[in-house]
Amino acid sequence: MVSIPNPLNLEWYQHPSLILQLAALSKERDDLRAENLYEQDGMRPDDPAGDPPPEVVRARTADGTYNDLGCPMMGSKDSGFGRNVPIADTVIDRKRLLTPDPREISRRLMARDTFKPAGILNALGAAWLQFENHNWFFHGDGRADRVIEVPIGADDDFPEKPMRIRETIPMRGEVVDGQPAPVFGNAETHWWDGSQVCGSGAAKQGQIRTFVDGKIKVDDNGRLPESDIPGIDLTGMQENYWFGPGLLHTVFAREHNAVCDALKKAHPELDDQRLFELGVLVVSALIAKIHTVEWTPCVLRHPALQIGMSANWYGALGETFRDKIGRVGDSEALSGIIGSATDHHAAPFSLTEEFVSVYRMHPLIPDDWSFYSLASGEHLRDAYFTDIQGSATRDFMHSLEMGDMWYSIGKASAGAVCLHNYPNALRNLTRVDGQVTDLATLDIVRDRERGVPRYNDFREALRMPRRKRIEDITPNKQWAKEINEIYGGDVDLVDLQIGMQAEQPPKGFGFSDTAFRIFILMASRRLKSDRFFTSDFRPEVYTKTGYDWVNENSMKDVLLRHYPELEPVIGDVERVFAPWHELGATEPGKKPVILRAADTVKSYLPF
Amino acid sequence: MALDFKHASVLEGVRFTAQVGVPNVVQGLFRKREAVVSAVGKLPADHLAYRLVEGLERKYGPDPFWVRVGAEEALLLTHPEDIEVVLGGSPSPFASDPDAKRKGMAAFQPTALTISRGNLWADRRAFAESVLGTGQPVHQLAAEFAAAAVAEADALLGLDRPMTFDDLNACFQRLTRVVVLGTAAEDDTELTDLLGQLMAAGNKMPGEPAKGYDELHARIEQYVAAPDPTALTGLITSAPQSAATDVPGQLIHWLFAMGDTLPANLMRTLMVLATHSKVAGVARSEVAGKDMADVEDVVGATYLAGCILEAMRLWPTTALFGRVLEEDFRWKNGQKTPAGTQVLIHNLFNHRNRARVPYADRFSPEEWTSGTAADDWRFNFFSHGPQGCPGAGMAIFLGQAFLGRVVNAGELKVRKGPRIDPGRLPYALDIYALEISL
Repeated sequence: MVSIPNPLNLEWYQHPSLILQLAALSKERDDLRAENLYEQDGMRPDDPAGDPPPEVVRARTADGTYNDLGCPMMGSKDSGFGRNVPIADTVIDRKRLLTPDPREISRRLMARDTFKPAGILNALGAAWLQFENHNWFFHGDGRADRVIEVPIGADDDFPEKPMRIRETIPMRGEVVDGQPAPVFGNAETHWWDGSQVCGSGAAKQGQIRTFVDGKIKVDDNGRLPESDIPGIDLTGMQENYWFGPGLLHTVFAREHNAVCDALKKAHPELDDQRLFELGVLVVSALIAKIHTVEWTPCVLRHPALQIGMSANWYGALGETFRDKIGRVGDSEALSGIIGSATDHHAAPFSLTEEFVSVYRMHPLIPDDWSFYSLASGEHLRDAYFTDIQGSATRDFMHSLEMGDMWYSIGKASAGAVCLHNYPNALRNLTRVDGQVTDLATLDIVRDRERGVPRYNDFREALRMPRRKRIEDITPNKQWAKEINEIYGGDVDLVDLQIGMQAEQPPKGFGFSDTAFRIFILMASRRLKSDRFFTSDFRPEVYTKTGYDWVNENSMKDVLLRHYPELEPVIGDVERVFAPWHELGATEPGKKPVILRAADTVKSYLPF
Repeated sequence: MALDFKHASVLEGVRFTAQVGVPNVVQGLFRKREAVVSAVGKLPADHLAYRLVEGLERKYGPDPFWVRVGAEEALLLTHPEDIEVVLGGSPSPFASDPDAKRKGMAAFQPTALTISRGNLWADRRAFAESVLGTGQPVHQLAAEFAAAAVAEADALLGLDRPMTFDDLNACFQRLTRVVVLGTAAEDDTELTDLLGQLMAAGNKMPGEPAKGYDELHARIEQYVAAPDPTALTGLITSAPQSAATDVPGQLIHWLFAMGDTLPANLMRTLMVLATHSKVAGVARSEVAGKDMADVEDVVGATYLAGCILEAMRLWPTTALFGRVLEEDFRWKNGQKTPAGTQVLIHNLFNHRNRARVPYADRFSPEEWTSGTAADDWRFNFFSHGPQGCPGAGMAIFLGQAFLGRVVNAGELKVRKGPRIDPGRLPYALDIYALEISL
């Protein structure tokens, strides 16, 4: 794309027209691709010698190897996280690991005072992000004997003193104070491969699969089976589980099986392994598409993003053009990333530590939940988040109809990603393994211990202007005052999470522009680096049935396929990740107020 | 996509209407127009229809897909899973009285079971099952029926010239009258002629009983009033029925199906037996030394039954049939189809689907005796599910008795008719153009 001069140093969203904004975004992404992809030595094991066997060429492997046939270990399970900032900028300052006090930050800046709804995104949208994170990354469980101890003050009611946070264990080597961070490994495959549903690695997949007709385990009632972890469904990724992701893990397990049925119907000659592989390919691509063209434009309501995200998938020529006419050459800009040539840009593909950091969006999750009957609309019960997550998940989910839970999560608003909106249930969370954690404290500590730069350094690495004063970070004077108090007025010390949650996002955005920079780079990179979304996104690889399935289905279709009883509440909804209307609130030809609002309202943020 | 099936193009719809829809109408939906059938038989019309649907299925299947028939889009089914959903869901929500069928059948059988809905359907179905002995291993009057069928075979074997379809049809019309109405009706050819005229009127889809219907009804009512213990009329008083059943109206359908459709299928079966020496050999050895008047001999002739079923598969007398949705319907994969939708099942394609049926164009009776054909929802000459033909067992039984007798008598020879390639049987086999010496 032609480079447009920017003498006033405007941010992309400050340009006066949509065309200029799109051009600026495109340039931004090009710069990020060139300047913000790094990796270290020892990211992954040596590549195997010899030609790849046919079974790794035709489909995704269980451990994520051979996506790039020239670099088979790239993006595989247990390979390292890359970086979006230069390695030299990842220096770990162990002396200031707990400075300022992360628990104090949690209590005074992050703790939810009142629930601030996002307005533009429903609680299903919040669950969706967690569901996606389950696919993308997990740093592992750590070790009980290697912990960071966070002191807890006498006036603090946190149940354990000190709070113990397990250290992140590097893939190799150790953290050295004052030195760039070592490589940390991803226990998941880095690829957008639906591993949260079917599992990362052959061993996990072996637990999930039925080994009949490609299907995965779903019980006779359409629910996920029990696992050996009390309260947690048997599914591909079982960490950080609650009923929201539980619904999504369930519906996409069912979707996998529906795809397998359709494939078998069209190709009765295919065996279990081929059906499973194709099911994984199709469902992972469908999930990626839903994330790209439905979830993202819902959480980023800026007009440029409505076009930009759709363009990521379909290209600037749009869905209709591509469906009817096909691709125009290999142009990513005109015909989208999907089906274009694979390209890793400046570094081999991996997810990055910074990507993990900007997706710490726990404020999306409400503490207080209300559940309603889909059949009658009546209020059934209320629940606190603690009681619908972790080891309580299955009992809770089995106490309600699936339709009631879908309706209730669709109706509820997500929380706004901002200060003073961190769920208190997560700030005092007893994990399945018995660890008691404040996730807000943990979010701060994790960035520090992994060498993710603090807010101003982070921005500089992305060529965003440093903030000179804390007051420049946020227009909310009260927040600026509180941040000043915690950080002693030192703007350079402000943690990334705090800066991002204090920032005023661009118009219509559900999260900060700082986070968004990583987002536009990595969201498209997850597609562009993956041959199954680029050169191998074609009927010959997916089968015509599978290829059509990806192209023709949406999240609403998935929901109605498996839960047709949702029709009265989503039948006329265009954005399923915006809050749904009340049962019976719709009338033919007239959109209910909440839908009209969802189409227009901006994120609720207290600025 | 919103949850919907794929749509064939308008142009494809025009071709479908011309090549599949129209030929079915011009040949006569109920009473075949001999001249037209023969003319169509000389054209590769059925072959073209097959090729068209094959191409559409490859493009839009295997799920159901929308195709324009005339001005409206209908849903065409080609996969047994979907056919099972529809026929398993008949008569509700998939009612078996699409407009054209109801309007046509109204001419001569306005109260027929197959176009009844709801409680009335259940009432008439119970009556039919009781009298026809549906699901019974052997009908309680099987011995009488076998004897009657053998008598008709003997009559044809006594011909001193090759047999035509008209000969066979006349025999079966008589057999039908005897089986359904009793020996008193044996020579009541006027009744058969009257039914024929009404069926011809039905081709025009008048939507109301044709002139003469009341007379036909009254004549049948007389036979019902004087039941023959050796015929189906003898079983009527003990069968479940109500004021709404309309017994004579139900019998009309049996006369229509047994007297018209069965001989057409047997004519084609005879053609194959005359041209496939191996098949004829197996059939002959199965009935060797049996006179076919014994019920067990008839029932034991399973290979012969397979031959009849195979002829019905290869040359279905109903090439295309339909259902109509009473209410909005959601399919397994979420696709939603609105009330009023016409659902079409193209037997001609489904029975011969080369991509799915390994013996598509070969005569393979063994698929019915030892294979899986009998369980395949793709084959619907007798329909399937709750509305499966209640008289199927009886029709096959009569056919077995008749064929067994004929096969036993000696070698069959085609005296007039097309040369057919056993490895690639034609899509159409014009029964009016055949002459077979028995």
